[in-house]
Amino acid sequence: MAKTQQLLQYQQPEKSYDVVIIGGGLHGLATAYYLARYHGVKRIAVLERRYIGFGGSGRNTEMVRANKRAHETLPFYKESLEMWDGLSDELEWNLMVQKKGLIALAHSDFELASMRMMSDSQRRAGIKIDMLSPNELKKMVPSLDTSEKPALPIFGAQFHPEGGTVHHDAAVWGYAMACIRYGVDICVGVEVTDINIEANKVTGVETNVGRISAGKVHAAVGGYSSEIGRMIGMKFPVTTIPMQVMTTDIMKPFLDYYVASPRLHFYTQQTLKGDLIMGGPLDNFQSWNSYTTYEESADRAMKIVEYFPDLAHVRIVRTWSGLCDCTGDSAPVMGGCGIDGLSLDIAWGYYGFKSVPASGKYSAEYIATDRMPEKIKAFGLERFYNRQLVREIIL
Amino acid sequence: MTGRLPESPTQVVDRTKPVTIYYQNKPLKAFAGDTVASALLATGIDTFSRSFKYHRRRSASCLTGHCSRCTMNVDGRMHIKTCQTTVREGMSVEPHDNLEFDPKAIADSFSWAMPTGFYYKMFYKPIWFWKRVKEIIRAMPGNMAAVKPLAKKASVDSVNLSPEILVIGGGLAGMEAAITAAQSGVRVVLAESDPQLGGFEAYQAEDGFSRVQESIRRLEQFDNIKVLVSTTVSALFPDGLAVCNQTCGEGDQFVERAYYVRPGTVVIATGAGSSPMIFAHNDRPGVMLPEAAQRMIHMWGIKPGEHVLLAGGDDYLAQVALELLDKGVALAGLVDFRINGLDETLKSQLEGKGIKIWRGCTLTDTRGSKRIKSATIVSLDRSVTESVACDTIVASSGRYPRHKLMGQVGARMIYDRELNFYMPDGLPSSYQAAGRVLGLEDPEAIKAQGRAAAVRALKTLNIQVAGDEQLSDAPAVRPVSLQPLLSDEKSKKKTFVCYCHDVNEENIEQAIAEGFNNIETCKRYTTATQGTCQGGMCEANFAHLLAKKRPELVARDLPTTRPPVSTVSLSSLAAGHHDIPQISPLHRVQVEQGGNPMRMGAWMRMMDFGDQEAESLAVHQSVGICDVSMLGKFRVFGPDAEKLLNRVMTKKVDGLAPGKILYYAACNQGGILIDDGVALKMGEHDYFVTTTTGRAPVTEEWFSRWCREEDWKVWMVNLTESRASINVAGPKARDVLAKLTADDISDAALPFLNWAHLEIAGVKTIAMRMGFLGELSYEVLCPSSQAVFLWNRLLEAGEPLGLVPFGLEALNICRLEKGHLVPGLDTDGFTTLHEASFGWVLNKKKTETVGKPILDLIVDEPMQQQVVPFSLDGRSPILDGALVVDGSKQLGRVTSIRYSPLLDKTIGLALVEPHADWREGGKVKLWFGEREVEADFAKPPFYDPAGERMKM
Amino acid sequence: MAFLINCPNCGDRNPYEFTFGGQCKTAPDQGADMKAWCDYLFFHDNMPDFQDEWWFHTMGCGDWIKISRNLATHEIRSTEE
Repeated sequence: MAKTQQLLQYQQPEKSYDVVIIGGGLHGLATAYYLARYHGVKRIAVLERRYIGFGGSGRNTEMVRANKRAHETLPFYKESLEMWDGLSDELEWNLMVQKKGLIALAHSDFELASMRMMSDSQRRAGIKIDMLSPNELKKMVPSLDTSEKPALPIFGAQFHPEGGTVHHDAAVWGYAMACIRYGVDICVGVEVTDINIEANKVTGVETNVGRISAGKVHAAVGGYSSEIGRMIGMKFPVTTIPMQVMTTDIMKPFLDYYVASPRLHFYTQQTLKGDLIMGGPLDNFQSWNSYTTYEESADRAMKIVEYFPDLAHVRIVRTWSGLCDCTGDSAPVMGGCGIDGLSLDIAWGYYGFKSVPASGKYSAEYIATDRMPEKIKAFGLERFYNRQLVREIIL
Repeated sequence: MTGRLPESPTQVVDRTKPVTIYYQNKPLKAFAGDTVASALLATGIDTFSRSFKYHRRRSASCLTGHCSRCTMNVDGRMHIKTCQTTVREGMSVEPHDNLEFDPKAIADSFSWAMPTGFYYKMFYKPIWFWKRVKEIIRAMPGNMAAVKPLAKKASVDSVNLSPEILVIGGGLAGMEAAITAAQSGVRVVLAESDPQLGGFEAYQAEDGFSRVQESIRRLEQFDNIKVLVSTTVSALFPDGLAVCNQTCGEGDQFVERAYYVRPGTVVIATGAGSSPMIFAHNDRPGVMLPEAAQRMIHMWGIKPGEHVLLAGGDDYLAQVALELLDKGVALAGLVDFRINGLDETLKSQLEGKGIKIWRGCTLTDTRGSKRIKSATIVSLDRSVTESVACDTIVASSGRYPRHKLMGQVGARMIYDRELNFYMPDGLPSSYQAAGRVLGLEDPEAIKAQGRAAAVRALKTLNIQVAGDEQLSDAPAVRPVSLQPLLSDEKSKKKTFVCYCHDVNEENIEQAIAEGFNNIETCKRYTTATQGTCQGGMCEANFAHLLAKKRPELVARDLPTTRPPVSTVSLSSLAAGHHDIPQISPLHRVQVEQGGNPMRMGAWMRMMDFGDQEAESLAVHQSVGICDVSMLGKFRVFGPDAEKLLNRVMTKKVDGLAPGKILYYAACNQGGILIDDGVALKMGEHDYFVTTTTGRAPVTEEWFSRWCREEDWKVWMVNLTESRASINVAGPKARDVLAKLTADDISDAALPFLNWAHLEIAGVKTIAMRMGFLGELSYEVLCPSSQAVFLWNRLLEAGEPLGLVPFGLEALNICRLEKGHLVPGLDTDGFTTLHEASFGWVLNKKKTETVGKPILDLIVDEPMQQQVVPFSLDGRSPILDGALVVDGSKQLGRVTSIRYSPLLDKTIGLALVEPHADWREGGKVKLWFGEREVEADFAKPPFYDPAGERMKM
Repeated sequence: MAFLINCPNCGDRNPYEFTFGGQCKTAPDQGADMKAWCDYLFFHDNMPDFQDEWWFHTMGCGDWIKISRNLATHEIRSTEE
């Protein structure tokens, strides 16, 4: 066969860069790409201590959507959702974008009211949303039990036709390869041990392979954010909590939509391969250890079997988990942190995947222009001192 | 292939007990003791499944539950390992694919067009094209199970066990460990995934079988060993839980059983298997591991084939060859990739029987897509190439430990180059390993290690057991040669490494060349080891291949192990878990009387009794009763009770006089309103406190949180479920009660915001006069056991006065008419006490109140949100959740909105940003049906502003 | 890795029986400003190291206990009531 082209090439880091990005996951890679391609930044390094896509990028349930609650953030999520559509073409790599539609179940009048409010809010922001009755829902998802039988019967649902999935590993590689094409150095096995600051300005980083000086440093390290905080003598408004996922044996196509129950904290989609991926809530306590537990698996299994009774015999093949750095308002922290040249893209909890394109774009804009873009203003760190928390969750 | 070998004592099949199963709806004769796989193999069925990508024919290749190629739909249950499922009379078995004629098998001819990751490099534009292609991709894979409505609900049993020791694996090592442990009197659970005990030795001809029987005889002497067969330990969670999943056999009413075992200590004796050899078309029906061949001849009495070629670099293959000959199976020969390694005795025995042996040779290719027809043998120096006719290839590239449970508890598997075996490092001391899983082969050494493992394991529990903890001579692990790779450009395309996903050697080479060059990225890009077998048949070969292409990867790390070890059904995981709502003591009687129940939170509540508007009018005009038993009720008492209540509550509880009701609110440290309720003083340092329904489950946690660092003497009792609560509300409420009580309930004796002990209809109650609904009302508390009696007496007494039961909807209408908000419904997780207009509930001098410091800091700051009442004339279709807007700006939302028949207005509350319009005469613009609808700002209450009705 | 919590009243129990109460923190003193309160309420150490934290035994004795747990390894080095 024809000579194989090396698509992924890693570099040894040089002594200095214009921008050093800490973290080789989707947020770090996307930011590097937009900086290189759209802002003409020449010398960029992405430093990753394990392998690209090691963290949340390689572990998530692939959901992309814009049906968030806080209306001031809707333009950001809407743009991110739309950016996924053109990304395969732009990155020249099939991200397997499937805008199959997301269904969010309501199990009470209160939830329906909440969903109505969010739907109106989302429609006003230009996002297509419909409300479905149990009957309409049954036609779309025949295997869903929309009767009175389940413990918390389904009252109705919200349908977000443009929500869907993107293959997470493909996204990592697509952005990585595009980074390489635009001259970004991706350095794996490089661990940042300290951030150098002089007179409140960042000058570079210390790593396990030596010092690298940098005009700007950007942190996009996912669940490990607080380690960056420690390096600069700051606490961050995050706690790191694991979130577990399960996957099954493969089945003939039977589920065309992503089905989620916000109330019951479970969500599931059937992948192109045919298996079901099942996500659930954050775990019960803070931890930096990526483990899975019987309690979470059983809880999820119970919910799936309750609402998809025909799946009772489906078999679980693998369980895994990832670390989520969570804030009290389920919204991220982007922009500056009070130190010149140091920017953050952290606290993405369990909602970081959908936001990859827009957070990469706007992080790059912030880094390149030193100005906080309008669309991410709500995510600034100072909101925790102004008590201007994002109203993403109600209770 | 068809028919059975003569019976022998090693067989588990009982030919006196025929069993009929149905394969593709046709009856198939089997015997008790057969597995579904053995029953199929005995009738000559070769193909069990079609492969994932290329739809190649696949047969059972390991017959020990690891390769996942024998999976079929059994009795409506998908992806069942037929090799470990014993037959049951009437069982229905269906393959997942059309095995004989699979049109998608054309994919196999186009494998050249499907290099690694080809789908990442194409199909993505234009978008409409991708949308079509993905539907095709979805439908393509082989071995997909169909999701169909289940004829019968899954029935899974669940059992909890807590033995001192769990032994995983019922082979020689495991049985020995179990016996040793049992001798000390402790409870032992022994789990074995096969339908019978014995492990590897059970199918090592007569000698092995007798050894096993001897151990079983000794084991059966103990009644403190619980033996679980057909039970796979799916996961060992490091907190001690072992999840063991059993497939139930004939006569069991359940289909599966989940054992949740919490042992004090564990012995892992899960054994070792063979790793498959890799050569072109090494996945074809007819290619199997030596264990599979042995199990066929010794356990089920089936010929693996008519003309068998064996291959490997291990004396084990020669041993198996002799066993096959002994059972009358013709051999094509033995291929040994060692030049001089083959044991002399075995060699001469084979040659004495005329069996050809190729030394220093390996296999590179095969022919025969439906079933093997021949194999290509090549010498390591490539000087000799020979094609040999055969219909079966029994091949192994070395032993490989069944290590996954060790990985789950934190051990790392380290590759030993000399031994070509993986050994565990870092196994925690309460998990001891023994036997073939640690590379041993000698039966006596295995038994000794099993004994030692039990001794060491129980020592971690401080239980002394007779036996040697250490082995005097650490038994040596016999090295086995690594398979040499002689693949060429052409054969690499069909040399399968990962069978579950059809990943071949060329795919892996290409991935590495493209830059996916460590095990984690290569695995994800090629999808090797990510299939059902989760590395069980492929990860060793994958690691070796990677190391061959990248010699610097000395460690040959395996991919991360995750639970479960073997697939587990959702219903097994869910076994024993139920979500059941709570019901009040008055639930059933209300339903009988026409109440419409609905689940709200954890409780079932009555929404109405058929007409919520009429019910609300009844509350205003005569009287109604409503079940409010879900509200939180607590006794807080002790010398320091006041200190605690003064912390949690916004009001000061000192000086609360007996008979008086104190209404309070509670905040969190952020000053956010989280709860409200009342407090009554029952006695010296003894209080009765209520909370909202939603907060009741966390009230003890919350209250005790505020004295957890104190040395206070204060205690709580949760009375929520032991006390029922009935709200009797309406102008005739007193008249109704007067008929049932001799106590003085005049307004003078029991004024508004007071409470009293009353005996109503003989029931001892506490009655509280409050004004949530705006009418004369009494909240009557009684023991839950007497609630139904009291309810019915109230109905009887009230009937002539027009008393009706009413539900939550009518309650909602009435409280909205008074403008009363419900914390958590009309406020959210950001609403401070001030923003909820609850500043009047805050004792400004008391500093210890939770949240007071922040409330004081923000009292003069502009509010971020506030609760705004509004009304519209007549009825309105607007529902809860409607947005409040100002042009394109979104200000907030409607939290409660209802039509009031009394006022003939639609009234509601909204949680909104501050705005100039929130004043008399202002307009509140609601967004409904894609347009603005104007409502009037209205200062509450909408009804009886002077509040006279409730003070009657 | 999961772990067991040694409740002083109930013995070794599954962490899922408890409600996690977060890192032990000292509330700001009387008269502290908003920044001090925001620091206390919203900012956390959150390091892969030992942390003093509160746990409430919801499905057990109903007591609050303070443990010192390593967030990365789940090793618990002390438990107190």
